[in-house]
Amino acid sequence: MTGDGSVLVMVVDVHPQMAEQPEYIHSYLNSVIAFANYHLAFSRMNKVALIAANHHETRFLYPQPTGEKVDRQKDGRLEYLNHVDESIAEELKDMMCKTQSVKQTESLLSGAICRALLYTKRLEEEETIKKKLNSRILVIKISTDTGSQYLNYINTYLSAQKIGAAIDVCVIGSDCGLLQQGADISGGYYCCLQDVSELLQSLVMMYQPDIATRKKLNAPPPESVDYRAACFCHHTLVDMGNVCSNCLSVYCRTVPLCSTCDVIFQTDRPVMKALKRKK
Amino acid sequence: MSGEREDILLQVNHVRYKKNNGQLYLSQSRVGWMMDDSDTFAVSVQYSDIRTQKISPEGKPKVQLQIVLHDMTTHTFHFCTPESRDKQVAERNQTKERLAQLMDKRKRLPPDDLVEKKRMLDENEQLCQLYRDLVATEIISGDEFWKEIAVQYKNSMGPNQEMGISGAFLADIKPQTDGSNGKVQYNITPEIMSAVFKTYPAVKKKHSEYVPHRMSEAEFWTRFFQSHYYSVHTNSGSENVFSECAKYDDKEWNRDVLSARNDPMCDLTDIYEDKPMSIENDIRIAGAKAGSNIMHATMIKRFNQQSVGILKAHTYTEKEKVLDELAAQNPDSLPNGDAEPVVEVQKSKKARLEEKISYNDLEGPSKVESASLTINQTHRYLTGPTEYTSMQSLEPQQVTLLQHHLATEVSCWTPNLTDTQDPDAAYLQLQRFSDVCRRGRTSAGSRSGDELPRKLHKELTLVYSSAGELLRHFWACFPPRTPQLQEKLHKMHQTLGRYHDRTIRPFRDMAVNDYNCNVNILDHLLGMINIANTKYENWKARNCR
Repeated sequence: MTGDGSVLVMVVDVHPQMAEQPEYIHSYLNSVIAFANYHLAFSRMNKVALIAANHHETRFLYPQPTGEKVDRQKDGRLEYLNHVDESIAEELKDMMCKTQSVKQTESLLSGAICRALLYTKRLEEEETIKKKLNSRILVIKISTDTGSQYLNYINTYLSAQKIGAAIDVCVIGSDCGLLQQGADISGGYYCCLQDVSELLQSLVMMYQPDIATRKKLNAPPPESVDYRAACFCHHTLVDMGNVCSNCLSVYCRTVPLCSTCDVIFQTDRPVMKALKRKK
Repeated sequence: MSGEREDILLQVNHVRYKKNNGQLYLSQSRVGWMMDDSDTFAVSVQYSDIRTQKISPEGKPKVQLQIVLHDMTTHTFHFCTPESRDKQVAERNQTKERLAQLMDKRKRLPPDDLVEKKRMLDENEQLCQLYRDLVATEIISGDEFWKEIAVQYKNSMGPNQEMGISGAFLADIKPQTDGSNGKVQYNITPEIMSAVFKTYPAVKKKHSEYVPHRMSEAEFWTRFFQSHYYSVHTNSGSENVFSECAKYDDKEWNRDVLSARNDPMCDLTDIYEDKPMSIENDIRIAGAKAGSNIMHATMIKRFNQQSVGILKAHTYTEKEKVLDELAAQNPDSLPNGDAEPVVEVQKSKKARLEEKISYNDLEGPSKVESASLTINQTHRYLTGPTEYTSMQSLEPQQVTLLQHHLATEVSCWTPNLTDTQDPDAAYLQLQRFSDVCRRGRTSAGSRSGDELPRKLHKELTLVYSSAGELLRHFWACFPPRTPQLQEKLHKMHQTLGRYHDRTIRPFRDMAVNDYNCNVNILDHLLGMINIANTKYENWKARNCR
């Protein structure tokens, strides 16, 4: 809540899976827009950007690439907020109409987070007086997935950590360990909600204050994050595994050669035999 | 000075200081001045604090002595015995002499190795801490500490850099004139002597030849300063001692000039009229062009020679020193060695330039030869492993279907913010949220018990570091094959025991009593010591049999 205002980039999941609970679609979208408005109304200096991601594409809902247009006042609302709402709705409808053949089913959230990082970076560059922007990224996720973009996610998180951008994550439905890791790595909050009906309330309580302000508030303690990696051979999470010294593949048990990079490991067995013989 | 008793070595009455009359005292360790009718010292200066002393010139009406301290403050004493001026001068000179003696004595008092030790401790914080822990508490003796522990630190510190020679060292030897009868006095310190020796190896050779069999140290240096070698403008009979030096230097000079001529980095061809090689030892080498006056040319040559000498003295390695000594002993054989450097210098200009412009420490880390990584299963490597989950991912057809549903839903959607949040759901969420926060606060309190207070943490680190050092020395004794190692092993074992009694136990008591820590805070450390003890006992049992 500093005087400089802050930039909020929201990454919103609009995966078709939303339609499994048709009664919540409007509520979900309204909550997202309401929170964007809330942020903008909080301070004149605040800025917002909204990126939507589904299984097919990621797209800036606001600001639009075509640029801003000034509307006349409607219903006594602030023109700016009205404009934000309308451009979001417009772009979203356009995005939904495009139907292509489905190649993969997962939401392209990691790409959207990348774009969000780039956007904040660009804003920073465009500032006449270069300074660190008070920016954060909020990911709202509603679909379930299997995390086939594992490495993309991790790379994104590490970039975010490096440039010091916090990624907040709000997941609706089942827990998502991958995104939880991201929030933990980049210094954001992670929260998992049971359903959409309490989305706006949670957003306002958890994610409204900016990073600096949060330190002064009493947030729910972070849960311990499961950083266990899955092994390359059986795809199970391992507590303690073997790592290939050549390509860093993870194996859940000792293997004589790495199946990823074909390296043969020198084992210490012959040495031990020799020692025994000596004795 | 006040308070403790010291013997007064010299007392001079009628000395004024800041326009007050008083007495000047010299004692074993300091110089003091006391005002008349007073019993405390107004000035009291340790000899070790004095940088130098100065006396007023001969002609001045006041007879004064000034002492300059290291921090550049000065004290001036005015000798004003009413008897006579000669007496004043005599008193002043007596004081000066005595003061000089005492200062000299003082200076030598802290032996070099003590200073060295202090410097090591100052430079190395960890070593200093170890010293405090081990020696100050008498766990091991100081000698042992320096012998056993400090040596390793010293080795790890790398070689010391030798101090270079000031370019103006000759000019800094300031002769003091006596004024009346034209006597000139030089004060030579060991530093000056070593500087002269380093710069002029020939003089060193002469020195070792002549002193003390043929002349005294003082005579040697007198001759040196009187010689033509030192000062071109003096003529005296003592030429014979140093004339050979000049010859040697000229040979050396020829060699240097030769190598410089082959150096593409400096274009000296212009200043030589004749080929320097053709002339043996002549002034023409320095260049008739450099000045029409032969005197000037000589001076310039001498200056250059001295500069080269100083530069060389700086880069001497042991090997070169030996070579130079050999050369100095037999100056005539030098030309034989000339062929070698010429061949060596025939490097291409480009190579020389390369050599000059590249600095090792400015270059990036050397290129690491990276092994190429052949990936067998590219896809697996690039996507990384993901956990198989029980959750079924959606089928593409299903997704298409849902997409249609969503599109129709969204198309009939207009943002409506007034009806977004159901109040009941919000209330429930708020309750849940508060609950979690409250729980978080209480659990956070109990968790902080694991962390040590900063001060205790720091002390624990120190204890660990010292104990680790001792243990390292203990284990370094194994296998104890030599009697020395066995002795050291015994000693280290005792030391460990003492350390345990004197440091670790009190520390644990302190941690438990004052900081309310868990008793097992030192378990790991004690475990290490126990292992060492067991090992020692086993070894002893085996060896005693």
